[in-house]
Amino acid sequence: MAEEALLQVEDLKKSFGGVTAVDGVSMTVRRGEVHAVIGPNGAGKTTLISLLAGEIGPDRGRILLGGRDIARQPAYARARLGLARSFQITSVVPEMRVLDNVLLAVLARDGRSFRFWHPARSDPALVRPAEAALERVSLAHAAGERADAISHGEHRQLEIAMTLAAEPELLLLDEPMAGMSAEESRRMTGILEGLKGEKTMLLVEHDMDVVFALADRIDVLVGGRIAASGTPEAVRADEAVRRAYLGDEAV
Amino acid sequence: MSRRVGWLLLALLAAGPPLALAAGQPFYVDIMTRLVCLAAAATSLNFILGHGGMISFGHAAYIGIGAYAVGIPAYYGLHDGWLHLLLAVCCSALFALATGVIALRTRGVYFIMITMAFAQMVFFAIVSIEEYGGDDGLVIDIRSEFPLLDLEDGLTLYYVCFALLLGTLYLVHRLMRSRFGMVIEGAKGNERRMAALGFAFYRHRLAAYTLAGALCGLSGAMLGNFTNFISPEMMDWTRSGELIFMVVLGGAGALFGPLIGAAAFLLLEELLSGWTVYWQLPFGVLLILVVLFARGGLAGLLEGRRG
Repeated sequence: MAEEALLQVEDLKKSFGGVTAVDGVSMTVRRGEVHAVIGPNGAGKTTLISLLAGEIGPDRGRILLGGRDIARQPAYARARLGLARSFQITSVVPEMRVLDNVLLAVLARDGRSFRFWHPARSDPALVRPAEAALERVSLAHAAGERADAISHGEHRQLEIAMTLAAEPELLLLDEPMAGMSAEESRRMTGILEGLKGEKTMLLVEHDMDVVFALADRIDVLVGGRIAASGTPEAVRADEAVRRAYLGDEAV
Repeated sequence: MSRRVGWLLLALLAAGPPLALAAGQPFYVDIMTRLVCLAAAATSLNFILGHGGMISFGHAAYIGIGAYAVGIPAYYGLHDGWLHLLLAVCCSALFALATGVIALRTRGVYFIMITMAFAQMVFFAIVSIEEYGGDDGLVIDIRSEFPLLDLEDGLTLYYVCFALLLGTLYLVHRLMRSRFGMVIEGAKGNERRMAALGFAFYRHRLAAYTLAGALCGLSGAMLGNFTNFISPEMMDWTRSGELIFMVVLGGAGALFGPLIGAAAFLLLEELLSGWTVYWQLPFGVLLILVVLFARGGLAGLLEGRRG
């Protein structure tokens, strides 16, 4: 694994009114690794993701992507710098076809969106990468369906396809297994395993089996702070983590 | 199915006027001229409202601007048609650009209110200029002059308006299939996701808003030529409401929706106003029914789609 840091978070802080949701978080995601963030409900995971993606601005701290501070950039600018996120609650364009949704991600990557005349849906420069991304998440069969007509599990796969099609440096995956059946969850784990080593991923996930199966390193977030950090084995063994989060059943 | 009805309507509109004249019914040519002008205006509105989700309640302002772009030069004895069209497009585009920069920073009901407010500003500005007739309006005694075309001839004027409708439809059709159109459509469906993908779609929306304004300005110029009389009333907020009515009634986001809507609007207006002076009452009831039970408008109904 390359030791180069792709994402560095330094002393990140965000408060809402009197509540400090993220309280001085520092972390490093190395290029090529799967880095998981776990933590109990209310630990600040969603706020952390929103801060990284740029949907909210931090009160303090720096976010370095490839050495460049992006903490004050809006979401669309961060996406252009190579940061792609999936949403915990499926967020696609419901009225458009599945393929069109992925096509939009390719188009965002391509950047040439002020073209008014030539049909986009028959442009091989857009369609081929979009189809490849759908193939990658085993969703090619649903390409022509409307995005609001597919199942929940397929929505989750579409989420991943859209982040992949953007060819990002870093994938921010916000609970990709949320609300999935065991079967769907297994399939998604397989898809993510297939991406491991090729893409750098920051994975926020509730499903501990998935996290311990996929992650190279884990940060444990409790009360807005990093309570523990290290390899899955080290985190599993950490006494403070067990008390704060994993509980007895995970031992 | 809505496509077929759309093509059928276009065929009727292409062949109708000479037949009406042959049958000694020039009145129908007038109705059809008004129809194609309004359909073109509604189609330009549909581009931002139906496809782009920008509910502009001030679109009639561009009809007014276009009409006055013919009327004011004519008042000074300038009758060159190309000058009129150039003025109509440029003034409409400029007004759309300037107001869009501000309006597009708002969302939902605020966008509706602010577009209406900007349109009312133009309305009151024209009302206050007595030189151009103010409230009473302005008579256009000579229509726009083009080489080879004589707009004083009703049939020629009609086919120029019809060509404008065809051009507007084709342009919106091409635009919505382009990369640009996909961004517009995507931003309507899910702003948050589009931003996460890396689209700064404010600029796309501003471009679309400007383009729709310019297109509607052309419709206004033709409508002004047709009526020979223009007044601020053409851009009253109720006129903007009627354009929205046509788009929603016909089917927002469907290519032929505004055409079908405009045709249904004029037909209903004709039928109901012959039946009762309170024709707007059943009209309103009808719109409520369409909104409640046929989300895709008449075009949606024709596709067998419901709310």
